[in-house]
This record gives sequence, C-alpha cells and structure tokens, in this order.
Amino acid sequence: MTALLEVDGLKTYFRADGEYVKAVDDVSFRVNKGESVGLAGESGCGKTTVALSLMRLLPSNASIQGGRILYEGQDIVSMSDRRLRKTRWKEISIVFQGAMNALNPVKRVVDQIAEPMILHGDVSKPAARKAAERLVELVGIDKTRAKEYPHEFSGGMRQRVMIAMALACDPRLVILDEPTTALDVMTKTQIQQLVKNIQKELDLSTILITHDLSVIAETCEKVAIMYAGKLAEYGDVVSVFKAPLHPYTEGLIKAFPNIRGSRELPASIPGTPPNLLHPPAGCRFAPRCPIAGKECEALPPDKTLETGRFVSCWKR
Amino acid sequence: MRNVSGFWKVYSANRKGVIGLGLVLFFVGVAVFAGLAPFDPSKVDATRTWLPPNRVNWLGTDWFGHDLFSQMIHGTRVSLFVGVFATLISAIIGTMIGLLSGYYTRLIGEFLERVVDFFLVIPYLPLMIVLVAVFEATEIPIPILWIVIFAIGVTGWSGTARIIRSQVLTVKERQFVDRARTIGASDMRIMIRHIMPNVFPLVFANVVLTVAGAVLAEVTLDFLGLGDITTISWGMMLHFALSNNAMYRGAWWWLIPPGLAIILLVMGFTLIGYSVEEISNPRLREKKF
Repeated sequence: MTALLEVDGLKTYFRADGEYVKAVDDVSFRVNKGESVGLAGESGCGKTTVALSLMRLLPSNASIQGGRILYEGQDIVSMSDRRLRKTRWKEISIVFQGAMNALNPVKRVVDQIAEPMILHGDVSKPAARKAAERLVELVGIDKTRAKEYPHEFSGGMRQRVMIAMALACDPRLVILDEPTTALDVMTKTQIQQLVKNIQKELDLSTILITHDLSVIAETCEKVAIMYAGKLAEYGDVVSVFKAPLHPYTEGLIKAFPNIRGSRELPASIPGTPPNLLHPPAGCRFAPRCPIAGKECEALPPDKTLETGRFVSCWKR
Repeated sequence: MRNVSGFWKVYSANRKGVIGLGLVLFFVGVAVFAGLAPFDPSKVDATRTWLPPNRVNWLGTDWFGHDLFSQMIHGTRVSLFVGVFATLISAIIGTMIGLLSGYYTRLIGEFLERVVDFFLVIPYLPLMIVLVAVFEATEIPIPILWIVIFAIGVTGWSGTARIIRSQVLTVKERQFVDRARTIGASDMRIMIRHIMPNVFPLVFANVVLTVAGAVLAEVTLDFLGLGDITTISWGMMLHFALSNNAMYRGAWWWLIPPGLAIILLVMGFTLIGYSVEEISNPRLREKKF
C-alpha cells in the first residue's frame, strides 16, 4: 500500500513565558490510501495539536519546530502559503472539535457548506448550493432543511453538517477531531456508521482523533496511541488491542470495561500526565508505569517490529 | 420573511418601542408631505408679525411675518435628513474602525484604539463648531447642510466603534471564524461575511440611538448660528426666536413648538433604540410570567 500521508519526527511546540511546551515531540506515523487511522490518548496529550499541525492551523503561539509532514511526497511544513491554501480542504479537510461552535449562527447551513466550494473558486454560487444540498443528503439530512439556521439543528445533525462541510471539496484525507464526543450513545453510533459508509463510498483516508478507544476499535484499521506529546505505540487495531506492547496502551485498554470477560472493575492508571513544560528526561510514562526500571530514566528506543508495529519502550 | 414577522411580533409587544416608532413615523410622514404646508415657510408678510396662534396661522407668526406652522413642518425635513445622513456616516466609520481594531488586535488595532480614545475624550461640541467654522471659511463649494452633516458624522462614531470592537473581540474567538479561515476565507471575507452579521443587531440598536444624538447636534449647531441661515430648521427657528427676544416679548408660540418637536423626535429614536437593544439582548428583555 502506498502512503498518502507520512508524518516524520513532527515537533510542535507552544511558547509560554519564554519557554517551550513540547506538546508534540517527535511523532511519526503514516496513513495509507483509503485507510483510517485512530489517534488516541488522554486529554492534553497532543492529539489535536497533531491534527492542527497537519493543516498548519496552529494558534499564533505554537509552531512546528521540526520534522516533516509529507502529503503525496510534498512537505506541508515547508509549503508556501498559497499552495497550502490549495491543499487545505481540497486535499485534506478537517471536522473540527465541537460542531456547536464551528457553525456560524447567523448563516444558513447550506451556504456554510457551499462556502469552501465557492472560495476554492471552481463553481458558481447556484452550482455550489446544489452540490451542498447533495452533500446534506449524503450525510443523511433531509435537503428541505438545508435552508435552516444552525440553531434549528440538533447536536447530531450539526455534526453531520460539519462532516458534509469537510467533504465539500472532495478531499482525500479527512481529519475528524473528536467527532462523537459531545453526542449521546445512539447519535454517536449513527455518526460512526455514517463516517464508515462515507469512507467506503468516497474511498477516503481518515484520521480519527478521540479519547474513546471503543470508537477506534469499531471504525479504524490502524491506531496510534499518544502519551504526553510522544507516540507510545502504533499498529493495526486488532493486534494492538489484543496484545498491547506499551504499558500505557495496556493501561488504557484495561480502563475500559470488558463485556465478555470476567466482571472486574475497570482499572485506572495511577498518577497524572506530566507537565509538558518540564517532562521527565527519559520515558515520559515512567513515573506512572508499573514495570518501569532503571533504564527508563533514559530516552526509550523507537522499536519498529517486522509486523509494522511500533513501540517506544525499553521493556518490550 | 419569517424572521421579519417574528421580529415584529416581539417588537410590537414592547410598548416603548411602539410609542417610539409611532413618533418617528409621524415625523417622517410630516417630512414627506411637507409640501402640503399651508404657507411658503420663507414668505414674509410684514402685515402679520408677532401674531399668537390664530385661525390663519395655526402656530402664530414670528417677527418677520413667517407662518410658524409651515416653518415647523419644513423644519422636520432638515432634522430628519441631517439626523439620518450624519448617523449613516458615523455608523459606517464606527463599524469599519470597530471591525478593524477588533480583528487586528496588534499594531493596527492598538493604533485605531488610540484614535478612538482621542475621539471619545474630545468634547464633541467644540470640535464640531471648529469643523463647521473651518469648512465654512474655506472656499470649497459644499452646501452648509452637508458640512453640518459631515461634522456631526465624523465626531460621533467613537462610541459605535468601541461597542463594535468589544463584540468583535468575542466573536472572532469563536470556532467558526477559525473554520472560515481554514477553508480559505480571506481576512476581509471573515470580517464582512462572518463577523459583521454577528455584530449587526448591536450596530442597529446603536445606530438608532446615534440618530437621536445627531438630531440634537444639528439643533445645537443651528441654534448657535453655525447652520445655514437660509434653510428652515427647528434649530434655526430657536436661534431666530432667541436673537429676536421672543422670550422677552412673550412669544411662547415661537419657542415651545420647535422645542417640543425636538424632544419628541429625539425621544422617538431613543425609545426605538432601547427597545431594539432589549430585543437583541435577551438579558434586557422584560420578564413576563
């Protein structure tokens, strides 16, 4: 399989009081064509920062300090602003976290979906509106409602609208940042199903960012686990969930109740994630790790196994 | 259309707003049909001076023999015209500066904010007087009425700019602005298509209140004799009434009607402004249970 997106040693730092917060520190992974990759980890581990880096949408106090993001062989990090504007949305698009706020309250839904098409300059206004109506239907909303305003939509519908908007310019890679987080269980399942269907139908690659491993297990082929700005583990979903290599992954999986196994209370990982302003010198997970030893005080090696799995740990 | 009728439903429930709208519509009607006034307002009749209200001259006559009722009617035009156009100028300047200084918070914003500060603290009346005097002294052939409009417009925008800026500062942090930028919208488009519609209710409420201020400013300038003495306006009527000792001669009919009309028109705009503000800001809506 050929890679559509290759992230290689990405470092994104935030500036705070003259010091750097290493929100994303040396993260590498790849997304193949038509593949969906889940990006998981605790809050504040750098998932969203990775997503924003991929589109160079970082806030003004953050910057990419190193690494490459190759999209079809082209480096997004060093791309000119003009090229970048063409790549965004036409090649890579994003479904923002929190659909409630990502819609302009005083503009009709259909116009908001049509806006990227008009801005990318290849269609007339009426044609864009027609296309937007088709997208509205594609994500399962009656097209008669397209002329309504966002406040007339439910949370799940707004999420659908955000997905439709991401698809507006026929992108090949869609980043979904916590697409199901604020939704109830039923709606969540529907949105997951929708994403799956659309992905198959349009032959999309997706990056799904979530802290909910169950969502990844159901919709993704690959999974990348992040911890404190570092990539802990990467591999295909089945083998990672069946036999996690990194103790953090293991902890995360144990923290989920298992409906088939014995009735145990889900275990939690003791402690809290480190302060990224002054992270531990060696393995960042070491202070919370049940199997940490002396060697973990040094930077852990990046091990890539023959099966394509990746783990960053001394012990495995 | 649903929005318009929805707005009217809420608006018509607001008693202050309805009274204000009634007052303003009344004056607008008078201004539109000013041609139907019984006399030519500038016609001088030397045989009929200092007359109190009577059957022919409903509001009496002045020292020159003008029919004051007809003058009142024609004066409505000037007040509304100046009020609306001066407000338009200050609304455009205020909205533009508010948008720019709220959106570009760094160098441009800071600079514009200092300009706004300057206009906020400067006493607007002396500034207006100076502006009018300077422009009238130059040989530029602009009608004095437009000089007055311009002077009121360029001195009265600072409050609008501040209010717009404060709102832009919060709106631009909303995520839909980031989204718009992501999909490739330019700063200009974000400001005009995305942020402006969100601050517009505020602009509207503020603009209606500005009209009241502009009407008062026009009256003040005319009263001080800085207006065009050949146009007939309420301020000019008061100006001539005072300079011809109307008070001393007991000619109340020369003083009270223009004064009352000014109060009613300003009150009309103020009431509309307050009720629009109440409606667009639900926290101010009167609670009804």
